[in-house]
Amino acid sequence: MDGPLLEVKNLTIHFHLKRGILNAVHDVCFSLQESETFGIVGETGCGKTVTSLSILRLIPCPPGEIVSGEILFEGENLLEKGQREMEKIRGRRISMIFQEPMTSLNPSLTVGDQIAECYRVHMGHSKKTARELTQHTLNLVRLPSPKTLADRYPHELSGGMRQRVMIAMALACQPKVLIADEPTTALDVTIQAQIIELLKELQEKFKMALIFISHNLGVVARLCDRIGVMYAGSMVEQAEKKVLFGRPQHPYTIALLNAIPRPELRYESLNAIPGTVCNLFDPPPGCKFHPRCAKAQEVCRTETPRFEEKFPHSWAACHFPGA
Amino acid sequence: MMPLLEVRELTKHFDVSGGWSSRLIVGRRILKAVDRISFAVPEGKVFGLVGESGCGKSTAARLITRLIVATGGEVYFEGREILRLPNKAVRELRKQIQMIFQDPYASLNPRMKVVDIVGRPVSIFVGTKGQKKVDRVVELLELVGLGAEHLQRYPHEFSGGQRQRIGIARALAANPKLIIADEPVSSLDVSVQAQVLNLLKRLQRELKLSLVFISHDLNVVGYLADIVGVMYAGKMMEIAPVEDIFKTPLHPYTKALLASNPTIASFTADMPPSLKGEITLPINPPAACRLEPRCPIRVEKCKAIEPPLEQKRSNHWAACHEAHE
Repeated sequence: MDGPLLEVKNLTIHFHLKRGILNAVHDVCFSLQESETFGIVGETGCGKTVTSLSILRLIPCPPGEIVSGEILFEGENLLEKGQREMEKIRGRRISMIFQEPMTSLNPSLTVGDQIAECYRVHMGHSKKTARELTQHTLNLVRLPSPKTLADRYPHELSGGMRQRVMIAMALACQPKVLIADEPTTALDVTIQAQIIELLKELQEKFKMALIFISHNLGVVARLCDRIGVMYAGSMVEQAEKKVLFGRPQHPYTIALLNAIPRPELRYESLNAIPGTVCNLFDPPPGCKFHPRCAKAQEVCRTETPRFEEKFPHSWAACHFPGA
Repeated sequence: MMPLLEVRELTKHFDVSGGWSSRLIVGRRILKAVDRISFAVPEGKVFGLVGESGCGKSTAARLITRLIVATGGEVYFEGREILRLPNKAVRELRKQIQMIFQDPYASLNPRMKVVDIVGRPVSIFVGTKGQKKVDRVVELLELVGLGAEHLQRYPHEFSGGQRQRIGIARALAANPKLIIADEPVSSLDVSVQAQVLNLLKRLQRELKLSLVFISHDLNVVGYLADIVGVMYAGKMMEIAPVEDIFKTPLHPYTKALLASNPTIASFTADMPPSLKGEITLPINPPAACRLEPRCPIRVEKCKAIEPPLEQKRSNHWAACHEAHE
């Protein structure tokens, strides 16, 4: 197949709330090739989760509204699909894992029943086959003694095991695209390392594409081929991993990289980014990062910078890119 | 020189047996949340306590501040044993030892204004009242990068980073010698986290504070701490100066933590081997190394004898049979 597997074009999402209109996502573009890993990083409220939810059309509308844009999956626009058609895509072609495995598993169903449900609903398998397949997937995500585990309830499992169950459910139908929204944030570092390793391995095995969302640049660096950085609802930079860390273009990316304490360097003081993220109900004109940017000029206050290719494989939305 | 704070064999056991029926069937179940840990904090230094969830680091903090009662051990503050102090004297002690909490949303009273939140310890511990108290609150707020304009506001009007600043101002109000900070930046975003870390470092230097800094994030501890203690399942696994922990760690658990620590520097390197299995809570633990089931370098001995925390190098202690110089 030519072209990317999934392409998000100029996506803009608003939420109509009592306080006003929240500009959650603004003009976001990215694409995903087959069996590629694309990472989205950004801080709280930058729109990374909303973007990922919108791919599966999981944004409640209202209050949400997809104002403009296209989401092309294998050439078809998902935003024009009906509910029925979307149900055929969700879980089967594109599936998702969430941050908090406890709240996304049903506490009153056994782990085995929940995974088997995927096979029965999406693939139409019989109860018996579904059960056999469930054992197989539990094995696949390296859960110990899958036979007894299938009869356990989510509360009996640790955080790491729950996340493995979530991954098993998401992979049940061997989707083309897996969206992982902060899947390791609630986990301890040694468990996080295990889950990242597992995701990497399964992705290679099934040749699926992965969208990995995290606030942790280090985690994204370990897993992803390409990375997009979001700030206040906009994609500010997108590049191959090595390019992004070696030659970051956008001042926000540069500042973010400098704000992480790196023990091997033993800084005297960290380069914190002054101020806080702008109010998304009333974003500042021009570049949304300009109130916090050290390089801001007059033009940054008036003109929104275009998201363009600054040099091969490196895109950024900034009037004065580079170090 | 005598350290400001010295913790010896500090222990906290929780009885998690449940009701009488389960006690009859399963027997007594004791969670050894903190099991005979020892460390010292020299005056004017930052002691970083790292470990994963459930390792006992927060329990240790609560024991030292006497928010909960210890099962055993001793804690010396300025040479004086404090675990057995009568309750009246504890109040005196709280002047000297203050705490900063993890969740800036839960640790500030939502119905109190900033002037009252920060002003309360000023009036209770220092005894300043009236306008003088307000002046002192303003001074404290300015110290943490806030100002007089914030006095009459409620906590919900602030962002997470600002709330944590209020929490820091409150801790400073009593002019303490020692501050125990329990994961003060883990709920903050990277850019704001850096602001708060810088603030803590600056205040620690300017006010010559001693700090016990608790975190699960090695990077953060590496930035702030002078000495690092690594805990696992209620036990202290390794204590060393911060450079040694990062450059020449001895304990396999510290090594695994470092290997699992996602840093940007490691982005080109392949994934190093991590620990297998899950963290188990130390409920009725056997007399063995707590890491043994997950340890990559375990030997027979580890199952039979619990390794003591021993000095392996100058200023470098580790609790491992197989960690040699």
